[in-house]
Amino acid sequence: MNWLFPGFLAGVAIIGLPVLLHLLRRKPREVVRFPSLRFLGESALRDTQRNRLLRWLTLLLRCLAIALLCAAFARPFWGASPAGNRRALVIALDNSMSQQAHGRWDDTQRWALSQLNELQPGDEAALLVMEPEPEWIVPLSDDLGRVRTALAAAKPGYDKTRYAQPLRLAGDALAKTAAGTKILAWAADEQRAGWRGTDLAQKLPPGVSFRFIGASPAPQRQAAVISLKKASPEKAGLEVTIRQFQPAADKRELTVFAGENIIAKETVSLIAGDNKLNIACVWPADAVGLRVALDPDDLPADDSAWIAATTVATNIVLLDAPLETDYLAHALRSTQKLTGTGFEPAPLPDHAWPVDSPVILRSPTSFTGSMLERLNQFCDAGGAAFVFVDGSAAQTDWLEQRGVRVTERQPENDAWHLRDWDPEHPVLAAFAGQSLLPLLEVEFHRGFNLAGDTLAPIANWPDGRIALAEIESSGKRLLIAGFPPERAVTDWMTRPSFVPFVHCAVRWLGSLQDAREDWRVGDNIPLPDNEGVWRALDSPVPQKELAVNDSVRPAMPGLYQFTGHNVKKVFAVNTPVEESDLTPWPNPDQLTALESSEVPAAISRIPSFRAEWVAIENQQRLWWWLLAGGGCVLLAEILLANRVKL
Amino acid sequence: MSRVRSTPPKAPPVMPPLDLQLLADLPSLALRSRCLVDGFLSGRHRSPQKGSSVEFAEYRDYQPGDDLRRVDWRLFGRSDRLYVKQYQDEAQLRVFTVLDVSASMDYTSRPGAMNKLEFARLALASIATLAQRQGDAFGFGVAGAELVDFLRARSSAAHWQTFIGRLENFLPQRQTALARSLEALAEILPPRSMVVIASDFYEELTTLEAVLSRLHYDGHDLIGLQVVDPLEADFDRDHAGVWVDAENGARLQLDAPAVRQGYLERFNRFCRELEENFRAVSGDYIQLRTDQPPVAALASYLAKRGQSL
Repeated sequence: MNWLFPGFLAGVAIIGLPVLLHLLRRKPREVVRFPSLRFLGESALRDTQRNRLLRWLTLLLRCLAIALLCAAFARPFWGASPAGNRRALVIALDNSMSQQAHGRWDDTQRWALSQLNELQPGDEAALLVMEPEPEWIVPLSDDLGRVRTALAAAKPGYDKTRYAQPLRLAGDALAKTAAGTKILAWAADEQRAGWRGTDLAQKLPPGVSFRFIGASPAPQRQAAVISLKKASPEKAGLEVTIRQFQPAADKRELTVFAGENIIAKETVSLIAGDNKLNIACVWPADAVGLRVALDPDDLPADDSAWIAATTVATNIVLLDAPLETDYLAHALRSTQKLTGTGFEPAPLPDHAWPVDSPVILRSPTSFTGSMLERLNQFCDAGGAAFVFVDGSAAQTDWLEQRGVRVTERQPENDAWHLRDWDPEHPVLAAFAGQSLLPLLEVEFHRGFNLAGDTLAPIANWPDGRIALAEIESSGKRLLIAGFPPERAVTDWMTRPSFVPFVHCAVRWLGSLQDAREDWRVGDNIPLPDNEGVWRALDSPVPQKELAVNDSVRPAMPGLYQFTGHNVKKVFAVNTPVEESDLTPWPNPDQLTALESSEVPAAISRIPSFRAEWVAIENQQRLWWWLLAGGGCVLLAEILLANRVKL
Repeated sequence: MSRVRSTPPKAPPVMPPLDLQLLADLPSLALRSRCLVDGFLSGRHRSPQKGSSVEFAEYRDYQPGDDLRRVDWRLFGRSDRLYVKQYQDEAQLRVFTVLDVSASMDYTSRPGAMNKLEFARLALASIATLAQRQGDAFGFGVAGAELVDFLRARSSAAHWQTFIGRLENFLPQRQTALARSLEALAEILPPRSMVVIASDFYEELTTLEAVLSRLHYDGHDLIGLQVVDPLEADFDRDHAGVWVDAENGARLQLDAPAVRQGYLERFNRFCRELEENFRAVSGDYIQLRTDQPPVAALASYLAKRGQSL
């Protein structure tokens, strides 16, 4: 318990006054001779004892009334201990896959617990886990037991390490607390991949001290299966890529499983770096997927990889004729640099458009004549299209037939920025867990408002009208952008966010026919139906079935099956490749330098503590209860004192 | 033969206040009692004293040996029978006073004032003085552990001197049994006497009730004078300490203000029951506070005497 005005507690000394008066009270000790005590006897003795008890009770009530009144004036409140003495500890717990390396998790937990044990009752602590997204398992509170329990219950996952966001989040939380000592306990293995991209020049808020375990010892033996592909049609078997980290050369046992059955087993010689191996095996006819496993090393989590038995589908995206520079074709071509997920742009054919390829439409001519027939045929067959609105009459009519009304926006002097982005939508999967700032910065000078009951907005214009939306029903997908991809209209095509957006958008549109083979833990996987069941067929730990909608983000590698209304598809999800590299950050001094050398302004801090106390005290209002209690006790004392022969 | 009774005396008028402290300062019981009686009688319209101007009281049959001068010859002439005139002064009353000398009577809460025993002595001596002046015979019994002394009833002046002298000498006794003493007295009292008991009556009331009934059965008129100290009656002392019983020496650590209410309830209930006991035997009950003159005792005596004759 703390006091807003502790000086009033000195008033408790007044208690001495009634006590003194009680002790100094006239106490006749004389012997009184009386004719007969027959009328006094036991009841008189009882009355005397009762009176003595009541006298003490009266004294007690007087003292209690004084104490309560003094306590009321001192304005007590629970919770915040004197801020200058209080400590706040945020434990940022790295639960990425690399923590599954031999001994690392135990060391990390033990170290975090030791940090927690340094705290005293009244101090504050919080637990922040880093993956898959930074999440406060226990926000800052004085419930240290809850933090300890949550820490003991935490387990490492299979996601990749990203330190930048949790570092800033923990720093901001500590900056807001009024504690005198602020500690960020960085319970991580300082993996190089985790620190990559973090601005180490940006200091933590002033007053926050940064503690970390230090670099974890390098593993003795580490290799990871980073890629599985079906061998070319000419060769039977699998193309397995294994990245060897430690030692420089090693021999490992490689086994291929179809369910529980071993269909191939080889001893392979590995050298440092990527080793592409062709493993001869016959794919069983009934197998929905295969698992390739190495004998366990210091990080067993990445020693297994899965591949789904899917047919290789097209990665071709059809585009109509561009009016100017074909930014979309360039963006699509740039995705080919990514492993296995690149798209190939191609012009719209003169015959019926293949349904398994997404179509991007930007030109008014695509909605007239024979093109319109092919478009309707394509859409009726379940094709997915990305339409950029240009305001042409033909396009507007076509959209209106699908329940979308288009009206041109009045031009303004200032550029528009889209708002209300739906970060959960699969077309924004590239930005999931990241800042949406690159999207918010895009400028628009012309645009069209979209309206319609069938539209699901993805982003809005500044006035709240729909700018980017989807129509989805019965497996058919239509993505509509209320602006043409022209340089005079928007600068988006020149910004870095354009390519990831186009990539995800096309991938989502084509997910009905998506043939990608190597999904990774943490990826937002678009699903071929808008609702269904996600079930793990094979994974390191048994998992429950999940009811899912448009997309799913698996937290564990394995072989999964999605079952929708009319579609069933198997997905292979493997561990993040970069997470297998356990190399620590090479320069620990940079981490030490994260602490700000600025001294927190003590003068400005005291009023904030004071304001915090006043706020807490105002919220609790214990003084009122004490005052009321004191009044009641005083009343009782008066009533009792009138009945007691003092 | 019919009995002609005189009219009982009227109730005494309101008396001027007597200075009790002055009485207490007087050197002897004889003087105190005389002063008290004189003060009591002064201002009365008609003295009950007969003196030489005796009044005719009644007729009775002539008995051999009667003085022939008392024969009413006129009546003889009318009725041819001998009757002797009897006068009022010849209707003598025997008054026996009983003094309780228990240890509880040896108490006063006011230093310098008469204690309960002295006060009782004064009351009884005053009654004896009044009786002597009325020509009544008076005697006493002293109640201690038993009937410790007894003086037969006489009416002479010399007897009054004896009465006062012996009454003055009794000291309080630790062991007392008022009821037993009264039982003993009942055995030796002549019938139809007036018995005046001065005591605090700290006795079992059931036992006392029995002996009072016995006295009433024997034809005695009873007057109970309950002598109480003001502290006993009011219990208004602010004493907290050890209280000691004067009779049995019992000690209690008491807080007087705290126990006052309970004490007064029990004490007043005792007094009411004591009064009921006397009323039940057609007796008078008078509570005498030692801070007030005992004139009520004298008035009661006179009233009772009037009824008895």
